Amino acid sequence: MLAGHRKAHRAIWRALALLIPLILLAGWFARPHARVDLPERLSAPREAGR
Amino acid sequence: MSVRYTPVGWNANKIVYDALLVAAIVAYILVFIWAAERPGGAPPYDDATIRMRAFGSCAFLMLSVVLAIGPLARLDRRFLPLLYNRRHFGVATCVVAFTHASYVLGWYFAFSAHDPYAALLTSNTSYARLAGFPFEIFGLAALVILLLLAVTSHDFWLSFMSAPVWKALHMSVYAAYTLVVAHVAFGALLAPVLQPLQIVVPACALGVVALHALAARAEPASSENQGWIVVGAPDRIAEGRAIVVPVEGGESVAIFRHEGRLSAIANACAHQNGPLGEGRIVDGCITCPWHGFQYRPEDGCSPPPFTEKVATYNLRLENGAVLLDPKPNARGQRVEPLAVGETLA
Repeated sequence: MLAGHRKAHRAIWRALALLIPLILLAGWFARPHARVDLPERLSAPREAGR
Repeated sequence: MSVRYTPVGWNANKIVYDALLVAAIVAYILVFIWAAERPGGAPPYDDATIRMRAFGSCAFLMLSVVLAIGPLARLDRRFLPLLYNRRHFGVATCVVAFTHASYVLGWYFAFSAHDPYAALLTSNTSYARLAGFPFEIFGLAALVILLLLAVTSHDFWLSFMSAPVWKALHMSVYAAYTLVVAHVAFGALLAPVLQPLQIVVPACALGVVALHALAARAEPASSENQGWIVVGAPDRIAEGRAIVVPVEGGESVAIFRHEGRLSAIANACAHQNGPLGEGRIVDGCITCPWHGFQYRPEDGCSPPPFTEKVATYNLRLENGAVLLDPKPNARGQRVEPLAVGETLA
């Protein structure tokens, strides 16, 4: 049981070691295109509702 | 342990741990709000946004710490006390994340023409674009996982589901962390003005990954001799402590030294697979570093009235070296401890 758990744990972290930097890079590359700051972007439905 | 049910087995250590945890959370939130509201704290967000960012960033940092505790404790025993009450840390993380989500719903979606939850899911459907991707969905999915883990964190669920199922379920915390990283990377990190979060978040996420890689590399190696594993000189093992020896199939064995005699038992605690080899001997019993479950070194049984048992292993001494038989005995089978002479300090 422990062996299986360890193998799964190792496999998951190998995958995350690739996935997490990729996600951060994707976010970084998307950054120059985000012209409006987050609170303003999110406020759109709130303002529309009013 | 196993004879009577108590909702939470409080003791002085747990109370101190939780008090420090709550104090640290409150201090972080107050400092964050103070720093954001002080003159010149750019960009000038409204109060609700500052609070949701305070709770959101706090939840991210807490989840990073929760995931860093395991490898840190494997790399350095001084971090073991953090491991002791990690489940409370996880539940507190869920509460902080839920508070963040409540602020978001209450501020951005409460005035929507639709139900706030429906508005959250339908206000942005730009799934085909990287910039402006509806990052809320990542946060929502992570929160659902964290809630599920918090609700099932109690020992009742561990016993009800069985350890393998419970462990498998709780490994979904890694999926939650990945979703949180995506939530932040496509959300708060897209701010046009450079903010501390844009450095702290990648540093934490990459730091957690690096710690797990380091801990995996630090796992001990062993050499085998005619089926028996050569562990090395008995002096390698300090009194009251253990070394961990990996055996075939990925399992591992903890060899403890107690009063000048060696005993080998499975390295996985019967409670939650805690690393017994990272524990120590307290009152003559091997004590799990995670939750304090205890086992007698000679037979792997918990002392009466408790009923937990782990497998024992055979040891022998040859040419001054300790050898370990990698085949486990039955759980609770007594093995005469191997006398190795004077105890070490």
